[in-house]
Amino acid sequence: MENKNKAPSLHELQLWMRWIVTDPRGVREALADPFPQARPFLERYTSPQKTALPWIAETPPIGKEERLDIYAEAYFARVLESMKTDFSITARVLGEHSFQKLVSDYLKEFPSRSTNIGEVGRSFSKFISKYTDLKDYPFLEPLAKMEWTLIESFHAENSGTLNPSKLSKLSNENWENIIFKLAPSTKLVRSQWPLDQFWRLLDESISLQDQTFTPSISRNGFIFIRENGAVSLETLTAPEYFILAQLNSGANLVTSLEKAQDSLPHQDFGAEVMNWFNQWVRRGIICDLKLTKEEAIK
Amino acid sequence: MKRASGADTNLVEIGVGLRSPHYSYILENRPNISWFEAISENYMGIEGGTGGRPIAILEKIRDLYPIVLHGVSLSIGSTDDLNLSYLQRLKNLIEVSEPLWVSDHLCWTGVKGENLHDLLPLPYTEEALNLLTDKIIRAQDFLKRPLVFENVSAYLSFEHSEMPEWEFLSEIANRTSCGLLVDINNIYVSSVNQHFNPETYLRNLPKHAVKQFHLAGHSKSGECLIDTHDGPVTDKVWDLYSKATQIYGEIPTLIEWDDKIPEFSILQAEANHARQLQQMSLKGGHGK
Repeated sequence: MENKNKAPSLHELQLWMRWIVTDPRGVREALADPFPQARPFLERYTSPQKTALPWIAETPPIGKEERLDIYAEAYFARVLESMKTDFSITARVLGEHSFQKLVSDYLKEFPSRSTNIGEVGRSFSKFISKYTDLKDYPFLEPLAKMEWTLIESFHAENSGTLNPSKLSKLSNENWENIIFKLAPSTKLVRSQWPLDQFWRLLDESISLQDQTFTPSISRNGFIFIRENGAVSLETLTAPEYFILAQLNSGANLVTSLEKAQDSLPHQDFGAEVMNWFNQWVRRGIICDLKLTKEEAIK
Repeated sequence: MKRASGADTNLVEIGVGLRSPHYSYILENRPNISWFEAISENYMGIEGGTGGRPIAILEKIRDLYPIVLHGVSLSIGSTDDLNLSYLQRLKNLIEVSEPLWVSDHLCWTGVKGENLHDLLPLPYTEEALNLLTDKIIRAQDFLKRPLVFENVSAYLSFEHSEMPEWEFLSEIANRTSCGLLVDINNIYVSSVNQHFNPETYLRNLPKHAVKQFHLAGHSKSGECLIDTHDGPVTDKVWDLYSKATQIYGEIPTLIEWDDKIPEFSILQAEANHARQLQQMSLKGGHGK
């Protein structure tokens, strides 16, 4: 029997409440079996040695379990709602019950460690990639990853815009020694999966019936762009992706073009490069430049 | 930096919680509202990114109205140490948004690094007082400003509490010089759930420390009241608010509405009603 004469310390009380509020079985079942046998993530199902139950005041007609249940239900409902908002397509595709179970299982391995509830889903795609219950849905991991990338782009640091007049002042020597910086909100992704098809499903008026998600043989390039605070996803041609990825890795434009030409010998994109480049600057995809050598922009 | 005209720390009257469904309406119509309270975490971004639309909107609204920041994740009552990373992000947000004051809740939201994203109740003990006193003083030192703390709705209480909640809040305010954000709805909800007299609570707070009132709706679940913020302020809470204004006078008051958010005009009507009650109380000449 619990020694009722000694109240739990504040730390003991908080550890116990954390357990009872987050135990995936719910309050009643958890209280009935606080030290279950071996099972995955056992610590999430196991009461701390010091229980605080006797120290919760009896205030009829509402019982202690019911009072604790308010917190337990609110905890899961709040996290589930946030995850539904952040992974709205994944939630639609799976349906209420499966998504709820997925989130419940996810929280066992990845309980929130962030002060922002909007970050609970940071490891969701990583979890899904190993989640055997849904192994028949291989598109779920790239889908969830796409939805998280959208969030990262949405919140990415602000950047300035590159004044096109700065470009017109560049000499030929400058162009060889210049590094272009991509906006932090710009995210480049390569995938075999139809991220553009996933993306369109953000429009909830599009029915999920008849949607099939099939990977292509090779990986395609995609870009997340934030304009006026709103994020969009677009497909890129192979050379566009290659050049932007090179620029993003710190290569200068000349080197990026040369490498793109070497890697994609059968694609003639020379005539389009300046159009692409101007568009990347105009849309804020490229947000700044710096010279690699101590050389003034002439 | 550009500031909203009329923004001063002696601001009175009625504010409204800033929520994303109303951004466009506010910016296009500039409604007659004294000030807005922004949830700090909604504008602090995520790890690795604090830019984008939320902060841009907040800056625009800051240029039109006084802003107050209200946090939900400081977890000042947790036995975990202060989260300095969180405080630094809050400090950055304070620099950008220039709030009149900054508030959070007298509660804990997680322990051992895990966050339960709820405002969890504390036992009102000397141990908790000492912990909170130390953490509040250090948080205020870090932010270089006094903080304001709100009483939370509680659905349970603890046998080993050594004092009533109002005495605990008073002691915290006295020991740390923090302000108190008195949530009238929370007092009412807790009073029903825990069987105490809400007027006794109201009358026993330190007058000098009361900086703000909150008003919100609640709902009923079985025998319990739940602080859902999903509807209008109830009559019982308006009554209690009238008493609060008689006791404390002109205290900035905020209408909170977080779920099933209605058109802005509904919030504005609630704010107008609060203003009327405040003025009626003041004309009545009541005082503590």
